[in-house]
Amino acid sequence: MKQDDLFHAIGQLDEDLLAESEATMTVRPKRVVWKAVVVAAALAMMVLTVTAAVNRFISLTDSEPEVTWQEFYVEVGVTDSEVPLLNDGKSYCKRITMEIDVNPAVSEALETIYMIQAPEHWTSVSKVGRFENGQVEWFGVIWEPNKNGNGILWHTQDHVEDHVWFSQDSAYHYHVVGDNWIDSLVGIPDRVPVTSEIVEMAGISVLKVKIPAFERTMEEDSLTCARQDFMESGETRLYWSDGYSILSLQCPAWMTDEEIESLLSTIYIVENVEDLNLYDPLADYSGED
Amino acid sequence: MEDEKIIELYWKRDEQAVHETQRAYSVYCRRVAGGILNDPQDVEEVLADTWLHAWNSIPPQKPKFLKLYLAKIARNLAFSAFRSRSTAKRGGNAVFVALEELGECVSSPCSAESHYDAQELGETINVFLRTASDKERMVFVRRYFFLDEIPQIARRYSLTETNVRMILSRTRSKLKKYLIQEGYDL
Repeated sequence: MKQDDLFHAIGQLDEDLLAESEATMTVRPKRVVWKAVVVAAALAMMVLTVTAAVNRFISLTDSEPEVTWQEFYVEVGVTDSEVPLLNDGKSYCKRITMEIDVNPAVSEALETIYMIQAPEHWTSVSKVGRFENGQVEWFGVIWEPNKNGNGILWHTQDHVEDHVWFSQDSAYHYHVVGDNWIDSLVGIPDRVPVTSEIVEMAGISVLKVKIPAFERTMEEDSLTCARQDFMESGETRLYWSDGYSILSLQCPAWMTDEEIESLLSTIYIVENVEDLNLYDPLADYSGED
Repeated sequence: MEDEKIIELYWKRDEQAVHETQRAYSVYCRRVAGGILNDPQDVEEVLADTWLHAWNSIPPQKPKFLKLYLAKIARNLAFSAFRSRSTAKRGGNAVFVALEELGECVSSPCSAESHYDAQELGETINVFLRTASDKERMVFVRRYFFLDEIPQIARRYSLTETNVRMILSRTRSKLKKYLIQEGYDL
């Protein structure tokens, strides 16, 4: 078959289909909200850029340089929560959130996977998932080796507003302490049973969340997720599924806008997912305390 | 004049039907054909053939959407003309870009002979598109039937251009899979 054949055949499409496409789709209210958020984020970005510059200057003059992170948004679309990475008032990350597509109707979450080959210093990524019970949810993974030393930070988001942050080592989950974050604990679906206590880790107060049935719950709800791997060099690959395609990246505050923009042009579709040597953090998790 | 009345004229074999059709849809059909053919003279020939084709096919046809019925005729005639032209005389960038994109759906874009019944293949694509999401379906149709540019589609549906590209890419990929599943030798 040639592309000519396809093009010719498309000329035979039903007039009903053509008529449908003649309509103008209504702007979804959510998008209007997003746009408003993006405008707000742009303003926040300006402020934070200055803050980052100041912090960078401070860090350069410090005997022990501190990695400072900055919130950052690119591309109109979904935006993430604007909470800092840690709730210590000074640690925050540069985050890019980009809408690729949101299509809850897609039945095969891993059908298409896109990949970004992030440059050095991009130390965190997110991944997304989808429950098949009709409720679109996602959870992300953020790897931040320079700050916590706790391994992987997990970020879950139930629907759109409720955020839950917790980190994971081989056996525990921790919910980082923060007013909003603790409140958002109620956003965890009932089907994820948790118990919690506040503990100190690496000088940070965290809410230790035990989720003994985490894996089981995911299986029961048929959570499908894109997998990802992490490379200590800072080189990071990210891919995400059709189920709910939101890209969220974070990079150190010293990255320039040009460097960030150049990343966005590196998106490509992975044809054969099986050929990738993927690391799935869940595979190493025993699920036991 | 309303479409229904124009179609009534066709059924009465009143030549006024052709004049009314031209008056109502010349610009529209010229745009459809012009997306495929570069040469204005070629486009005019296609338009003349479109009116003739409409005259000869109504009746027995009774189009539900006259405008789109004509668009299909114009598009098909324009593409036939495009295929028969030498490379140098072929159409604008739009159709080349669209063909290149659709090339992703076929494994051998340069395969020698192919005899696919356009009607049958078109029906298969119809079925595929009906299983796609509204957004995928509409974006696909705008791009590959009407040859709309990406920014145009983005504006029409309030999407970002990146989003439109991603939707198209994904839909092409799904279409390819679907055609293979349906037994087409790509």
